Amino acid sequence: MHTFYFLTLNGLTMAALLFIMASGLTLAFGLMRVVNLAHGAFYLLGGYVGVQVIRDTGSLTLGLLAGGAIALLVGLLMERFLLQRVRGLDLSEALLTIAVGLIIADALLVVYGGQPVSLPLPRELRAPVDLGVMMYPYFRVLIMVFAVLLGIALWLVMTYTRLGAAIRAGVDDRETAMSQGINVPLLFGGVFAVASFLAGVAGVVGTSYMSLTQGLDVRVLMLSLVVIIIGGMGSLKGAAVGALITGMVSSFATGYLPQFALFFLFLPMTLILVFRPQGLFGRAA
Amino acid sequence: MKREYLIILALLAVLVAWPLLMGNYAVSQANRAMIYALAALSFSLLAGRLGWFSLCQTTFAGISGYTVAILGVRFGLPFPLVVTLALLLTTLSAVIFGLLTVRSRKVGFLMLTLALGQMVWALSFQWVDVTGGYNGIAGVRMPVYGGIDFNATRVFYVLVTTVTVAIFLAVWRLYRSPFGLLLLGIQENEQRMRALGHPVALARFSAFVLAGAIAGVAGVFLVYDMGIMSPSPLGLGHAVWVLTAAVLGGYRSLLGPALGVAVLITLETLVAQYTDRHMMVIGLVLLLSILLMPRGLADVLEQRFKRKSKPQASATTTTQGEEP
Repeated sequence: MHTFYFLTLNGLTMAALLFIMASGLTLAFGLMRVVNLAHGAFYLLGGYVGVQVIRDTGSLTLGLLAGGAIALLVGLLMERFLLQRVRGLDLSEALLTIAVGLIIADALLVVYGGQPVSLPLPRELRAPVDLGVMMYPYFRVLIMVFAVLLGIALWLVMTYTRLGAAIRAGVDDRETAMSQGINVPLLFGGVFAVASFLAGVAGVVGTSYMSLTQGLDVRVLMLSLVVIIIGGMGSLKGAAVGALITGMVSSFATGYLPQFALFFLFLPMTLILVFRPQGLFGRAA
Repeated sequence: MKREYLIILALLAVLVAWPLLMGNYAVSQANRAMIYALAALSFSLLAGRLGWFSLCQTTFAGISGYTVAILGVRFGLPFPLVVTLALLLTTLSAVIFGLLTVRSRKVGFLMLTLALGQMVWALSFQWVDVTGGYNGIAGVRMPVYGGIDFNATRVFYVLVTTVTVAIFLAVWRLYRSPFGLLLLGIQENEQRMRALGHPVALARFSAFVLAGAIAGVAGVFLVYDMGIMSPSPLGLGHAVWVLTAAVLGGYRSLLGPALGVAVLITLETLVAQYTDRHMMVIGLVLLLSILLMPRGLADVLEQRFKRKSKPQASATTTTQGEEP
């Protein structure tokens, strides 16, 4: 029974991380039909820079902000100077993001080397707390809380604010939204910036769970894609449910069938593709 | 028309002369180039005809390679049987992947093939009992028939070149056949093709399976060329390498992918003397190709040639059919 609780909690932690990773990606995709395949590289970039700032300043908050900020900066530069040049050509945009991802990941390898890097956490955050059923590291509990708060915040903004309404309008019908005076290109830039920021923050937070290392960018990208394909591309609710499913499957498969853990990760996605190609909460194209 | 035959004859002459004039290293580089040209052709068949950018063509090559390694080394089956089974299994995988992806378009297809390809990579990495995990399966060797050792670089070259040229010629015919034109028509205007009564979904699916089979052939050669099968050819790096070569050369033309592979391998060899930032070079090449010549080197060369012969024709050809 202890193993079961442990795997469940690990699955929830993983799900929380996956949601932080995938929420930005799915929002940007929903609005712009641009899939940022440099997402994993942004995660890695945010992670490395964040960890360095934490080491230098000793402040976790500063590290989180720095990790988010550097990814946001690179994301904005990429959007302004590269993606805008091929705007409307979905595939060229996607291929450009692949190229940028490769360059960033390789540059990070030069700067930070190939040794795995983990998050330097203060003792009180690493210490386990009693959850009633078992002891569990405090920081992982914080990750879950953070993911839930982030989800609620994004949902509130999207549902109840003018900004959210404008974004939804831009997703539904770009031309009509623009004719109503909504500055859709500016909105796109903003959402892309937020998505990049979240990728960077996820990189710092996630480093407490998975060490930063060469090749992690591809794994993170792959996990995020799996989550949003399951949930439906562009759907926030879908990202939450997709993250829960993927996190749980990943944790239990790692626990019981380690040889097939990564493979099982893709099983829900494959089933969804067969029976509901648009994803659980996606709309048919 | 005539020019096309001239180019093909000139290329064939180069391919025949290469092993006679060049050293062992250059011939083995040519072997590698030929194998990747097949993979890039497989990619371009989907990208150029259907607008489907696939990141799992190298996965099919990998599935084929693992089948050869497992059946040949572990079970010691004879060469013809190993190759047949490898190609059958690869085609079967392409059928399954095709069923999963046939309804997706553009970026959706790209993401799906990325995820599916990485799934197989994960399996090859973690299913240690069958694949040997990170270390892979070593000792994959071509047979010796009638005193001819097919592992010898130049003998292998003859085999790889013959098969590669045959496949390129077959695809050349295919591009001009009604089926090839239907694929282009689907990319141009799917609704119209459907309204005309063409089996759109079936045509797409068939093209996907065919491209998978071509990648399977590349995989067979790849594993015999390397002598070892490990997860790395199934990784995203290889998929992006092939994509970059096809975009660089021009995935819309028949020889574009081969040209892209040749240029990229040459470039990598040159750059390797100065830096080992291999992936950064690939990233930069892909970035610049998309921004500066989205139709690839083959198109740039063609335009230059046309401008010399008949200057008025070039303006019309550049405007049509920018990225769909």
